[in-house]
Amino acid sequence: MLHVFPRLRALASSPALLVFSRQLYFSGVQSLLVVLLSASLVGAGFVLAFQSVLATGISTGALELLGLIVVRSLAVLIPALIFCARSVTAITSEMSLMSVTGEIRSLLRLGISPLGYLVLPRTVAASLSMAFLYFYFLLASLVSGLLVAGDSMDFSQIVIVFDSVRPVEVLSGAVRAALVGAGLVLWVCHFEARGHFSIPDVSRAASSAVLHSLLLLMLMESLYQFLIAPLLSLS
Amino acid sequence: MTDFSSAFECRLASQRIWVDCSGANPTDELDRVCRIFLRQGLCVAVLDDCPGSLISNISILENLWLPHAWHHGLSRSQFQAQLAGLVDVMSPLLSKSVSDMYELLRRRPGEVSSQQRSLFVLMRAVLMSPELVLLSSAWISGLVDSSGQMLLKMMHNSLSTASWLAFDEIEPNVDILSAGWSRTQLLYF
Repeated sequence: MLHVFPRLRALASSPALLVFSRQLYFSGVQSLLVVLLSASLVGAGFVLAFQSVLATGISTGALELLGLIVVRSLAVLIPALIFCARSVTAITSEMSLMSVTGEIRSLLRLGISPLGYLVLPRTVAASLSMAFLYFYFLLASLVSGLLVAGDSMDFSQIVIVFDSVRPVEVLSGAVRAALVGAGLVLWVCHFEARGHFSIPDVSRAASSAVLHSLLLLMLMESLYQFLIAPLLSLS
Repeated sequence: MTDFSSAFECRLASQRIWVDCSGANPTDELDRVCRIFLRQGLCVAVLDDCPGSLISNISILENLWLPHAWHHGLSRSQFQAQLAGLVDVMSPLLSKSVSDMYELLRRRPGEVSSQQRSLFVLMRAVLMSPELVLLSSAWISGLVDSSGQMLLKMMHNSLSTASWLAFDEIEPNVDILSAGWSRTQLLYF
């Protein structure tokens, strides 16, 4: 990460912007439908599970709990899982293949830094995508939860549910999602997509990248929940 | 390993140098020397038969534009004005119309033949107006057809101030470039 930030100005060059916009489209825009669908299923599933347990129907308390869980954990975790499945495999395969075919070597021969041209735009695009997907996931899960709750809720209860979501937690969630996106891309580019010399290495690299990214994601999430979340709750 | 200082002095003294890579990997040597000259801020073009000479996930046109945009901040429209002149020269060499040439340029490198890819690598080198051309003999011998040879000759003539360094165990054997090669041995440093 320390090597990437001094090269941020490389992002202003047109080729890097092109890589950035393509990655943003792939990781952010093309993932949107899957993220919205999973958010709706999570929100609706949560409310339906509560309704089946509680004889009295869904309460604002249950929806507040949904909001809390989504804001603090699920809106980061589920888009990140989708990111691992789609983008991490794509980035690893692409970079490994570039390494195998000598395209990275070609970039170096042209005096173009692979870090500035390949890694940095993808890292920034992944960060932005994950931050936006966080907001979309949060909104879609809450809305689907409210829709499933249906007649049992009036407008004032809906306002209470949305008010229960603390802006500080939403903001910290978005920042966390962005950091997770950047961390995963940097991990993949630094550890997974290097040093491959033959085509069979590419598929192996992609599969191990997904596995390691999932483990890394769980580790980052656990560290956050153990170390940082309690501090935010206190404030 | 190549003795950088002696290679550089030879470069100043002569326009064409053959770096004898006996006992070493010519590709690695080419990379090493390329790095040295790039660090000095020279504009270097590399002509090698490396399969990834063109980046596969962007179009050929974007490949040609990439070094100009990266180093000089040239916009695509500014670049296309520069490219137009070369396309006019290239199209008769390849027996293609100008519109066919642009159609080829819009394709990805994987969608054209390896012969055409070599020509586009050469075209990128011409557009870069390099001060130094590093090439492998294997790449030269790959340019078997007359259009490739003619383009190489054109490049050689138009870049009169550029220096040429060929990397191989044997002397480059193409007529237009073979005359007057000074030989420099690989030295360890």
